[in-house]
Amino acid sequence: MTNFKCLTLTYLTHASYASLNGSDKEADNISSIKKIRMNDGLEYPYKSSQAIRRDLREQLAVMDWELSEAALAKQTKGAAATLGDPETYIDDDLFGFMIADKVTKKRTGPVRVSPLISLEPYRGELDFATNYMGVKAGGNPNIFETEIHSGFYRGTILIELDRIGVADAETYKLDLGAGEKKRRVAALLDAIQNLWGIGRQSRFLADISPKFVAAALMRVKNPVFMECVRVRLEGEEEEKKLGFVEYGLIENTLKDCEKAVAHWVLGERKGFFSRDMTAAKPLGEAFNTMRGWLDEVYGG
Amino acid sequence: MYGFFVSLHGMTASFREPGSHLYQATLPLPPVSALVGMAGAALGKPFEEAWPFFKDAGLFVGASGSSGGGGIDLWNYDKMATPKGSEEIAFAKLHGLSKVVRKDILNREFLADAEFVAFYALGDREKADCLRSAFKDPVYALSLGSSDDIALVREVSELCPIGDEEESDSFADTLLPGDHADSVRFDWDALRRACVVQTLKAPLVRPLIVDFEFKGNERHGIRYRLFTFLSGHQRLLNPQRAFRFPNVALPVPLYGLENEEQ
Repeated sequence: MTNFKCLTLTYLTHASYASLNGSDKEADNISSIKKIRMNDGLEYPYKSSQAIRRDLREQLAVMDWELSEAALAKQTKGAAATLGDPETYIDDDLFGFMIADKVTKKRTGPVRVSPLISLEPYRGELDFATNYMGVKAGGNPNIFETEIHSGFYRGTILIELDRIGVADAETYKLDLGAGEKKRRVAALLDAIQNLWGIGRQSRFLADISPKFVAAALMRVKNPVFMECVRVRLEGEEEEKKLGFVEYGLIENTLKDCEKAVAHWVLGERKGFFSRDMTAAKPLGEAFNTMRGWLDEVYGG
Repeated sequence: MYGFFVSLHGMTASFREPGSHLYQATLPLPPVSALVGMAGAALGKPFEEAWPFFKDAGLFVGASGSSGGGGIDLWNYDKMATPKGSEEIAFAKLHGLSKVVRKDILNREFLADAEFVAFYALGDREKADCLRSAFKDPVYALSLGSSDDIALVREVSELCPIGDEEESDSFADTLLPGDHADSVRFDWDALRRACVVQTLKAPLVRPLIVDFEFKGNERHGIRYRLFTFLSGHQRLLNPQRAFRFPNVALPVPLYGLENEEQ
């Protein structure tokens, strides 16, 4: 293991017509989305960090990784937690667990996931619908509405590379070889690249995979890009649907954090934004660059 | 004493009030336990090791800051519960269980776009410098409450002698030991000078845990003390003890872990 401590990435995605994460009911027959209310009164929709982690778990399952919680169903005395076996299960290793018992088994997850927060406020859009499912049985059609939102969303993920595959307590076993650690982090990067939400997708299919990513291999554990990836919207008011990522702020961040950043890469879906960024690679290449860093971290 | 401060930013932050369960309100600033937890994370110590370690070392902590907004997050979770009702009791009996799994939801308040400054001070210069270095290169990634409230470290200040404590009646967005609800007044002069519309918030007084008992990695609060969370620029009728940190405009009230009377 070298002195590379973490891989941090901040990503942008865009939702065109989405209801990403359901909230507690605020009004009858209106299905709300989770929102942050800022002090100026504007509300910004978000998808919670636990929902993003759920999406990442599901992606890992799609990629044929067996999940700890999937195995839980096999247990006749199922506990309200995962199995707490990070040696066997990738999700217990990456996301941690807590099994409360006489001797509590606990692992602090080395993968930290922020919520995916909209950069544009909620403007009150509602999708109107009528539920006819009970009509044949003699009931009345049931009118309901769902809050929807469109705009750019930003999220951050921080992977503590030195803690992957390493136990942080004596209550469980975890001592992976460099090859397996690398395989697990590479799988996580695949899951992030193909991030796909599982909630409300039958009515509001939304692609939340990153369209822009700023990533760095760090010598210290600090999510340097967390607040400096911003989108500037272009055009007249009615045309302000897409914008471009401001490079200046990212460039200044990289200069300010020069000593802490070992490697960095910017990636974007070319043609997606109103202007391409010269300094950004195509998204696939950027993720390949990140996978390449793992050779340096864990050995080739 | 020797002190330093750490400037932190978080997209989200949440500091659960002790004792809350299905509705988890958040405190507006990191409480004493969270400040110690962050210092422990920086050094790579779990909380049950960090607390006695810093208590022995005589750590002083303080916090100031504010947030740009907030929200109430909804969690859907499985909880362990004593069987109730014929169905659950029959299920538990069939599988020989004392507890069953039950679905529930909880609401968790959080702060958004949070900007905090955490203050640390120690009598021993070497120990203070060691802690400061740990914040520059933390063993565990720092977080502002839950592990997913990722913290961005904007700045770790230089280590400086912070001099003798002084008395001050002027504080802003800070954590103040004691109940000062009846002695706070808004700083109208500062508000007039600011020339912008501001929302005035009353001080919030809450009991915070100031000592723990540990059994393995299980912990229980054994001593509580009232703290006042001041929002905005406010003046106190009764001046309070505080310390001057270089490049910090106002004196900072600190709480010492080892001394109940601080």
